[in-house]
Amino acid sequence: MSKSIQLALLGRKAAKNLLKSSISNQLNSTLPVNGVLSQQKRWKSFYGEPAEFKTTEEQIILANDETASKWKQMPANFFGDEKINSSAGQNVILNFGPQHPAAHGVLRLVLELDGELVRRADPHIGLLHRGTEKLIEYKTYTQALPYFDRLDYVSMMTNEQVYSMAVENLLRIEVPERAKFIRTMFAEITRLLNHLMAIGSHTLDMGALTPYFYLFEEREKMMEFYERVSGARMHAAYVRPGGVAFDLPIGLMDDIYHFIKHFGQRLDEVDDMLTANRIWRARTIGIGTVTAEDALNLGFSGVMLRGSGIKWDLRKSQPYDAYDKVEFDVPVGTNGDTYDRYLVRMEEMRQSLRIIEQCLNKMPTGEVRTDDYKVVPPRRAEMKESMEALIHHFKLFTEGYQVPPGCTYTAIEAPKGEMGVYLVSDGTSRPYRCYIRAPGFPHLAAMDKVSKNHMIADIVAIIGTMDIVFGEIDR
Amino acid sequence: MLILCWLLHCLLLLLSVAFFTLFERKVMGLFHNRLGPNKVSFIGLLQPLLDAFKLLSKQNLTPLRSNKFTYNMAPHMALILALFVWLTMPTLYTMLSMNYSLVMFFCVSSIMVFSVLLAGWSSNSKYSLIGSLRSVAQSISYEAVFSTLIVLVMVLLLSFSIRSSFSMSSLIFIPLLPLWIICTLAETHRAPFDFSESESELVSGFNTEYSGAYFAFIFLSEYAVLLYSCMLISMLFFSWLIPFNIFSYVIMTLLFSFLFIWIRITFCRFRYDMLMMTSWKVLLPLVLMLFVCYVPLFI
Repeated sequence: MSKSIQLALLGRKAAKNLLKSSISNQLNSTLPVNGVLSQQKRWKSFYGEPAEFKTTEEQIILANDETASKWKQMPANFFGDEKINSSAGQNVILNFGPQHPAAHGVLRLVLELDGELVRRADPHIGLLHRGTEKLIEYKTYTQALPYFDRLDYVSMMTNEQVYSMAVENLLRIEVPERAKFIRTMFAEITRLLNHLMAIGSHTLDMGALTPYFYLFEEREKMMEFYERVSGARMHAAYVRPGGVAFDLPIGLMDDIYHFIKHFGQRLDEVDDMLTANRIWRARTIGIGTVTAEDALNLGFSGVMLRGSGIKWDLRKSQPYDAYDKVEFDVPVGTNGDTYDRYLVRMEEMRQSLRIIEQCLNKMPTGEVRTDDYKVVPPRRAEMKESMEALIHHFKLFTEGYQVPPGCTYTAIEAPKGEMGVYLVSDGTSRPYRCYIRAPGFPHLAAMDKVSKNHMIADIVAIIGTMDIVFGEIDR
Repeated sequence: MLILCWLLHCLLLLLSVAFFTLFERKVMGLFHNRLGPNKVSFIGLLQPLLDAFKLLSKQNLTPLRSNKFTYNMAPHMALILALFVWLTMPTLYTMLSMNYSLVMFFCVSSIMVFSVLLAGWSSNSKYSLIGSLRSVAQSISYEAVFSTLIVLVMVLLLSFSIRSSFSMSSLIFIPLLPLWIICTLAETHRAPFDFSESESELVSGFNTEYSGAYFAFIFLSEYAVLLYSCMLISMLFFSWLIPFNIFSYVIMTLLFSFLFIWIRITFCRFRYDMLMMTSWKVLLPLVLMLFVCYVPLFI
């Protein structure tokens, strides 16, 4: 084993100690020392002081030198022993999160404040990083699916959907019509789930306590639908390559119909509470404005893009599953501010209800999984009688199925925006590479641009309107 | 005797504050379509007492680099000032008769902002500091309106005492009620003006670092002042109801405390610069206009 590999195994700290010792001279030749030793200097980027906002010396010293010399200098915090260092004046740096009521999980924002104005917002990510993409490379295509539930954990089934569609693209298989409609219906239920969470937590962050509880009541009902169809309230693992896991249980469609008939009233209640509420309007109109040009340049998608007035919806522009067979409108905003995005979300929920109703009415009969037993596991009953089915089952759950070599970028319109999976297959039963394009990531990356020169209270509103969920951002 | 009376008064006050928190939680639960506290004893009746017991039995944490003296003083100051405000209540069994109770109320409630300022400043935490700065900025703006209102009331009463409002003449104050309520909300740091401890922005604002008994003191003082404000409204504006119903004063106090809870449930939070703008540009001209409207009554 060469010395450089040894060092790499030891990790950076140990390598540093090694290099400090006497053998460092010998190693210098074999090792790119700078590469190993150069420490990450990320702190530079967020603890520095931008010149334009730096509090100058003149601002601190209020009297002229003659008067000031007679003063007894107070300690900086008036009880400690620090002296005021007038040249060290700088803006307050506030560590917003990761333990913060409005951090939506584990967001850490380093805010540079001028009074209460935010001069710079530096989002830090990585606190929920689980290495999903890498883990997937070591899992079979079937085993990789549940990881997608855990990406954006408030819109679970759309994540599964995009992965399943990517695998289907590589396998070049078509799913049955009924499965397509079930997927579409549950994708829209998922959109409701997500938007309820988005608006509920947004209002809660803005200090309105009540809508949150109303909306979560409804969320609970939809999670019950999840449970009835898949057995799990959140991490359903229901949409799978080749269709969906199970057929709809008897009575579920009636209950979903009953639910969507009444859901509109709940939305109206929230409308009554917020849409015309003067405080809500004052707090959201003109806050976090993103122009259409910026929205495109920053890579926004979903509501963040449509709120800025760009009509772009993958369900319309490249319909997948059953979206070409249902009618719905795509709401767009005009000003691109927080209020518009709130309105777009509300309207999207109403459109989702339309789609769900159409799915219920048009739901075809038939299979819910493709009949290719090389990909989907055979039925339980069949396994009891057919030897072949048993062999298929055994092969599927030990080795998985082989996917022909190739790559695909498959994207869908997830509730938060464009959710994409870039899947590379090398012909084995495990993906060679799986890159996940999470919609929240570019949104969060634009935090600094969107929130500049807003107040702390608005930062909270902007986090809410961006609909940030850390499961997908950190992956 | 006076001291004994005062102690009893304080005890009852603190008890009523404790149950007021239960009332708030129950009402919020009702509005939110959930139960609220219902596990402790019968329908959660003992909840506030046990909460208080829990808080008092907790350790008081003092931040390492805080100003210990001010940090420890601020909660006491808040509580004592809140009890001071209650001195001005005209009770049936007079223990302290004050001829300047309105002035006293206004002075003490203005000083109360210092306890918030000191608490936030001495905690040596950025969240606390921002919270206390906000409350100072807030008090500067609404107190201009509030003091004008109080002066107007005093001029109309031709007296500095709350007691002198006990007549049918208090009917003429009714137009002032909306403004008074807004000012009370701002003064007691209640939603939608709870900037100094806006939970979703500043974690807990000026009392972020407080725990245990000191937190309980701050908490009690806030609710005591709120309860007093409800009572003051029912005395100043609705004392004309007393001839009709002797309990009207209690009923109105309860109704207004319910109203404040309702407001908290309904509205989302303002932004503190918006409050400053509103109070200087909208409320102050409005109250001055009202002053002018009332001029014919002075003559």
